Amino acid sequence: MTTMQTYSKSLINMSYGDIDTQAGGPYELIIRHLMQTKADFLYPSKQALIALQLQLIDTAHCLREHAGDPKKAEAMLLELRKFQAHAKKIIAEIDTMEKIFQQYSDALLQETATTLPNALNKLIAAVEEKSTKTLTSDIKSLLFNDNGMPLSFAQLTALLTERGIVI
Amino acid sequence: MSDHDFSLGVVRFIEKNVHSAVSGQDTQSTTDNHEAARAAFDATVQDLTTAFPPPTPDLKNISAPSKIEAAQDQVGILNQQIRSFPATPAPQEKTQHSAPQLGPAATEKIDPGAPIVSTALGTSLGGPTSNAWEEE
Repeated sequence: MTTMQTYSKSLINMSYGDIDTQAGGPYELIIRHLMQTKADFLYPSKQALIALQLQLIDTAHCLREHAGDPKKAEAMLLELRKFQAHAKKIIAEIDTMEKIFQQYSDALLQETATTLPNALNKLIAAVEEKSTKTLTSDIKSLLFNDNGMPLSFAQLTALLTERGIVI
Repeated sequence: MSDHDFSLGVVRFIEKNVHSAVSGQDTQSTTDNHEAARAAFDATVQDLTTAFPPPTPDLKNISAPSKIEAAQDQVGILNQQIRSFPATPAPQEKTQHSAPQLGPAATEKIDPGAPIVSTALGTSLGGPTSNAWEEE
């Protein structure tokens, strides 16, 4: 696993718990969607902001070393402070964006928490109806993970392999 | 197993475990009877992301990251200009008209993992902050 993958996994775990998005599955698909949305939505602006902040710091260092002409230096400092004010506005807007994304994430996860288990139960019920027999609860529970969500691809594959089922 | 095969895997598992009830039927043929149920399940998963389109806030300063990049370009130009200024005199040569001093906040290092704060330029000149670089 590369450093970037490790970092991404840490970000996912911080936001959504210990989820292996590479394992696939319906729930993991939702998490991947959220992470991609967050990356597209926030990261370019954040990255650009950090670059601007570092650039302002570097320029402040530079001005400190080239302040032999006080009038010029003061005028330049005023110019730089305009960019500092601009950066502060960007910070405030990124904060707003993060709150908007969090609301979106919370709403989607809340919807997912009921919709995905219901969808799997409907699929099970449809097959049971055709078969005119129901699964025992312990067998049925094998199709859900500890959080009550459908299994990941990796978990389902392992379950099928364990029981000698080929698709 | 691909995304598309997930529901098929679930159906196979269920059929295998209710097999006694469908004995006499070929497993493949019974699976074919569940296309509608599988399609409904797959559509539900898909709908969760398409029915919740990502938010698109209308923000003034960062609606386009290029605005920040434009600011970076401008600061880069200022940086070049500053380098052409005369060097700061050594401390013993300072007079009452010496150059403005930047506060400690102007030179503090940034921890990449720390929250973003805007302290790059310190507060050496005092007074209210100048107008924003770009007003719309």
